[in-house]
Amino acid sequence: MLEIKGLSAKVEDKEILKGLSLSVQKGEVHAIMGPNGAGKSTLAAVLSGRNGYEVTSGEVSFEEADLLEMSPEDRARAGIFLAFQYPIEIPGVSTTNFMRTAVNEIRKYRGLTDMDSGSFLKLMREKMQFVEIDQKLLSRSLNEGFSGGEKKRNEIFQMAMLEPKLAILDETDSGLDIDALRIVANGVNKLRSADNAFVVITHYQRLLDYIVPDFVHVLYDGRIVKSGTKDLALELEEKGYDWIRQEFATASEEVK
Amino acid sequence: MENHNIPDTGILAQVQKLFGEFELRLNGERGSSVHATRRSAMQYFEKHGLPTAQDEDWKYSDPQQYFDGSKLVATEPDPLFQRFNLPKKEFITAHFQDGKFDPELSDVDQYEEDGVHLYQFKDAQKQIPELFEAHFARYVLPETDGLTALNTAFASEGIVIHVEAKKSLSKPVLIRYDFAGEEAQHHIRHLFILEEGAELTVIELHNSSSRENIFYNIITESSVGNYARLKHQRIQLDDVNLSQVSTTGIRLGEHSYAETLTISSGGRFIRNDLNFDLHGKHTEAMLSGIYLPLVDEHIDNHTFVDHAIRDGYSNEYYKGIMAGVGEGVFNGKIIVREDAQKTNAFQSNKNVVLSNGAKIDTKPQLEIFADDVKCSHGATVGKLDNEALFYLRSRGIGEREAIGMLIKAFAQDILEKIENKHLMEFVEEVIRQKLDASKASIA
Repeated sequence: MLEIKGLSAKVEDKEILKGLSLSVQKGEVHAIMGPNGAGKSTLAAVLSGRNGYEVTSGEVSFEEADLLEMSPEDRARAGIFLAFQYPIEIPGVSTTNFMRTAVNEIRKYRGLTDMDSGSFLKLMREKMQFVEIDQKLLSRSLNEGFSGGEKKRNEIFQMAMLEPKLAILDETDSGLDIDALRIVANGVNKLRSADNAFVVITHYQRLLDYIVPDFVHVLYDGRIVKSGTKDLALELEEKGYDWIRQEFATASEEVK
Repeated sequence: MENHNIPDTGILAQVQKLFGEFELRLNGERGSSVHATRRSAMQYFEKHGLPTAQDEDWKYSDPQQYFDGSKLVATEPDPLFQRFNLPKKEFITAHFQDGKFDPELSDVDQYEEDGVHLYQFKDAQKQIPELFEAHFARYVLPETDGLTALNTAFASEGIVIHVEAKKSLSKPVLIRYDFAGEEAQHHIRHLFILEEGAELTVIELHNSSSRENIFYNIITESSVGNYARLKHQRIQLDDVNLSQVSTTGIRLGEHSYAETLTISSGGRFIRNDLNFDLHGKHTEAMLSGIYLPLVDEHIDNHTFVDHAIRDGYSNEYYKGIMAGVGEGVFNGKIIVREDAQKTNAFQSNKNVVLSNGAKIDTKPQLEIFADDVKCSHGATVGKLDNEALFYLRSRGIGEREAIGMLIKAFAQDILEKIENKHLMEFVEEVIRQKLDASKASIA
């Protein structure tokens, strides 16, 4: 589904990703872990098409299409969803109107007609229960005045509404208390299916107690230096990132 | 203010000839104090001419070439131009066709409600001479500049509304301008007199499309008596060949309240002067507006809030959206005079510039001579929030649509002040369409 080959990218002349490769298939959940500054959020940004990131080499294909050539909206329409680490507050745009526009633009891309009002509201209600989000929140302006936890829940709600093929969760667990974490994780687990895939970016193992990954990758200094199963996450939790640093530093020295 | 321009001799000769003809038609008005005011206004114009960019208050907006349309090339009217389809029952209408009151399309001549009197401007001079003379040319002074002088000298079209103490109308008054005729200049003038505790809502709707260059010059004067309430809305949705200067003067008596709304999204050259005179204790003035020069348009809002007496409150809130080669100007002057202690005066001006060719000049001007006051002002100029734009696009919303959503969100709190639902929807639709048309220029 998603093939990343030798991806390098820089931000303001600083190289962050340095030849990253990753392959994600349908039905899989991949966790990407790593210390601060390793390039986790840059990976999410490049995959979703955020401005200000320059891809210097490598390629990314999503269902055989060249992802890097696509606009952010086309990526979303093709089925990629990014749950933001810091969701944006947009005063004056109601969540309902925002979601209606998004749902219908994606339908249009897929050759479907606009959803009628009744079905749309029914869908909204259904998905709201899914992530246990209060209707009152959704009648307000998008994320305006939401707490950190409410914003993250709103991200999962949007994901449930848009039913992406590939969802990238960018440190969705940061700033969440344990209850909010469970709700967010439950939302993800309910959406998991044989037809979609998740890339869960996180600093801590904690989230992976709730969203059990098929693969765990360690991102360090712009590339994936280690891959394994969920046991790798536990190992990281136990030992911290220092041994990765040492091992990687040693490896670099050996190369020299 | 004084200006010392030498009037353009062509314009001056033309104006003098027209004034001579105008005086011949005055009949009964001849020799009245109104006639004297007109003559002295004409003399002012003869001496000073039209304002030009040399005058500080007209620095960014020189009206000369729009007034004298002979050097302007008229453009093809916008094929997508939209005219407001009036839900008749919701308003008391005064329709001005090519600058002239049109009784066929107006309710004003026949309309009667207890304690509220509506007149054509020229009839009011005869029917309520004392009241008329007591208020005419008091709230917009003829010698403000060449254009207010010209209007005072010539204006005979307009309406006068007199609301007796504690009375009000059941519906808002809608003054509608439709210019479709030959190249010309028009002067229109309104006067609203609200006695103690009276209430009035007036909307001026500028919504014309013409093949010729039209210049019109409107003065709207209001006297808001003690404890009275006025709402005045000006909605400018003209097509490309229309230029206007609109001057509004409002005097507030004790404990009175007035709010204005100025929405400008259409017209080649628009200059709005809005002057509030807080003339009694405990007055309240609310000024809001939004200007959207999205194509080759120039929109200039000059506001002046004069806190003359203590315990006044004023709150001014203007926004601007510029695109294409559109030019916006905002000048907000507030004076708090020595006697105006305990004044609260606030001003905010926020601007979004969407393209490299567009520009905005914004100038807040606070002059405070009293020591026990609360005043603040702030002006911002920025682009659309890129993070917000990306957030919307990352959910599958196309760039154009996303820009439209953000602009609508920015404008929404001002547009919502249009109380009539049909009119608000119409304004939103016109703006949406103009934004769509200017999309190519939006970076």
